[in-house]
Amino acid sequence: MRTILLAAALASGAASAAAADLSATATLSSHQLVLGDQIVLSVAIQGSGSASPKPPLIPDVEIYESGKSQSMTIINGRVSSSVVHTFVLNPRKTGRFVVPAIEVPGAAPTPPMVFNVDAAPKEAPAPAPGQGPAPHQPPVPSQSPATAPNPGASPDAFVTAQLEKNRALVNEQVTLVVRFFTAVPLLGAPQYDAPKLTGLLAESLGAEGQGTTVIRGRAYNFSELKSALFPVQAGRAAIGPAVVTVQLPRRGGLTGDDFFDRFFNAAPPEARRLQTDPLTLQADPLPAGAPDDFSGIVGALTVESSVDRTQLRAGEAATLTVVVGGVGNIKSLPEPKRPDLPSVRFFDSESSVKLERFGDKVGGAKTFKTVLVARVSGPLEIPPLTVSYYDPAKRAYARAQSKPLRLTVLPGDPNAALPVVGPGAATAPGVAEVAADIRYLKAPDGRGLPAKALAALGAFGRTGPWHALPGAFLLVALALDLRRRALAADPRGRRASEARAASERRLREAEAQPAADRARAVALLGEALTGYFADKLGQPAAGLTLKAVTAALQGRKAAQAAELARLRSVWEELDLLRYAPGGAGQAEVKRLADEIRALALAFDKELRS
Amino acid sequence: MILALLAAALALPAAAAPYADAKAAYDAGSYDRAAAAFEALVAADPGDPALHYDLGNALLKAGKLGRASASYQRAFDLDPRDGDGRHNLDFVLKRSGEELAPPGIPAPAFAAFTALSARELAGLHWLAAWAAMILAGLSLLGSPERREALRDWLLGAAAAWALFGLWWAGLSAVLPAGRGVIVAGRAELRNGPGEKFTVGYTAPEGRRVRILSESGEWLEVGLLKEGVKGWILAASVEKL
Repeated sequence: MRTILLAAALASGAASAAAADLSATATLSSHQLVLGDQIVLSVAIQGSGSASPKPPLIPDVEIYESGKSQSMTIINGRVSSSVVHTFVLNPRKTGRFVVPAIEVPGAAPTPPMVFNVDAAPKEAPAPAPGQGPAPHQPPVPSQSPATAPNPGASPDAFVTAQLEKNRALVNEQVTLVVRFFTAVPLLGAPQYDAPKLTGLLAESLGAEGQGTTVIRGRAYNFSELKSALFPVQAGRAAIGPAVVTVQLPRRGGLTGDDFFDRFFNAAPPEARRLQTDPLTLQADPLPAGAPDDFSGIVGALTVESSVDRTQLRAGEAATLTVVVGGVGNIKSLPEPKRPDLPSVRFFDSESSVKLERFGDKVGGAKTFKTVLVARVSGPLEIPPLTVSYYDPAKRAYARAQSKPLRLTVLPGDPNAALPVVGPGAATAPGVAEVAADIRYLKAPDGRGLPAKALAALGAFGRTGPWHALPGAFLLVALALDLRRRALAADPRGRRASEARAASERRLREAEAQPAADRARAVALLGEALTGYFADKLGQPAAGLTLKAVTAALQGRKAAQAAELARLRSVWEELDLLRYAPGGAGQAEVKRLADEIRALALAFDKELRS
Repeated sequence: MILALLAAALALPAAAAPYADAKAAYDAGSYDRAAAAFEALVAADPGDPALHYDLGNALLKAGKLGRASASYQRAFDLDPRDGDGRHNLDFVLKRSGEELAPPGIPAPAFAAFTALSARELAGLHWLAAWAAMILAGLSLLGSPERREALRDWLLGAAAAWALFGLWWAGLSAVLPAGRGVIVAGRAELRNGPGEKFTVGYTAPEGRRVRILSESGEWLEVGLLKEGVKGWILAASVEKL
């Protein structure tokens, strides 16, 4: 019966009382910490009422309610209680943070407080020599000294407190066991005041054990209360004395077996305040090399993810549920990092915690629910979500991850409203780019005739030396034009330059004359000869005599005596044939034509100018 | 000739099958396999801008930003008017800190300036040159009446020659020959051709460079955007 009363007193809250005479005070476990550490906000409410503080809202700080401890006194029927609400603050970034005034119904708000968060050092600091094992080494379990009964005496009642071990890693669970022993019947319900914790978070494991035992030959009934403690930061954490106030019968008052004896000799009960010695716990920092997404949890975790629908349309919403479970300080677990998916819009998450006991270990599951909206159609894979933690059994960091989720996103309804949830719901309808990406493949046969023509044009531009052809043509044309202009400006020179060609035309015509027309052939031969020299000398052909030609050629370099003799011979032979053309056969005409050609060739260079 | 045409006709269906395989691999998300298939198609027909574009898509999806940028650049050089090609090239250039249009030049103006490729401008330039020189030659050789008849044609051809020539020169200055793309992540640009020289700059994968000179395994490159230069391992650059 006594143990039941004790358990009820330990486990139950204070009875509600009218809200009156309340006062609230808030304290922080530290005002300076490094990123990755946690800080504890304690809000103590004292007075004869019952109220709960509202958790403060601090930007970039995750806040978890860690529980409350309560002490209660009843004086003259008036209930007075002191309740300490504990919140865990987990900053997400460095900087200066302000804890705003905390409102407690019926009490004045607490004054604001400030704490600073510095960047975490690159490596975890090693313990000083002689202070204990290196951070990566496991804490050494040991028995903490418990408050034992005075040696040599067997008290009627006493209380002990014992730690599972006195050295642990930051955020690693250590079990505190408080046992209350009594060898006499209790008068009234005992009052339990939980130990004050500094640098520790506590989770009650409940009033668990009770039974009887014999200590130094005396029988005791005992009941025990277990709590899971988590060091918040590296260093020495303190567990204050646990106090149990009981009403015990005075010595000798309840010794008689007779009812009347007990009734008439009853003495007033003796109020006894029993308490444990304070304990300390050395918290070691976690080993270096923590993953980037390390959540600070020491224990063992699993991650599972699911969606409420695997097929949806673009613009529609689905709920992504992520459950992180296992052993450890689940309450302080932050949300796993969402995957960076440009084709998906995530909205704020809601979380809930369900705590469980696994033997003496506390754990449970924390559930995060997030609304996601698919922005584009097509297959959508949500990659595995991961949570890193430190596994004390394996003495190493580990990572739990969920399985990937595959969704099918159908094209959105063109008549549907734009985003069903979130900030975009109120925007005007229109086309908005939701994700930038490259465009799709292009078939190689997509080139049309213009493209092929331009390709051929490009090939033409790479033909190289052939591009010299029009330039050469232009140069030739230019030269010919210049020559033509020069000749047009000098008619005599033009006639002289074309003399040989004109002579050659007449010679060919003479050679082509039929045998019956010898006179015509001879006449043409004569025109060829006289015409050549008339052109060269710039004189009219009609009436040009051999004498005049010979006189004009005198003194010229080319006019050699032999050449002049040949000229005279041909000239005279033609004069002779002109009057007797029948004497000229075909062979004779050919010979004379060749003679004239040779003469023209011989005199041509000299007479060019 | 008939045999050649027949062989070409038979080759078309044969090339279609590898393309279908490459496309199927791309659609299935096997981007490495798709990239290998598109590479084979590009090797068989390097003048097709669509194949370079498709290869760029597969390489980018496979996580090879630099090589994808090089493929898109080749597709752009062949067919600068393709809107999809311009979009994808601009997409990868932005990932490496660049944009298709140089700073300070409006995108529409740059699009108009690059509406014709350097090859096409070269072809137009030479075509106009041929026309102008032949017309000039014919004018010189012809009668005064012919000269008068050809004069307007000659002036038009000469103007086109000058226009396309200047355009070609301008485009060659903006997109010069001897370019490359960095295909290594955070490539180091050193102050000389060797490991013993200090690192002057680092450049992201996909950044376009101009190759200035070569020395063994090292290339001297200039960053087109920043106007700085340095020596980089040749294996870190894919020449265009």
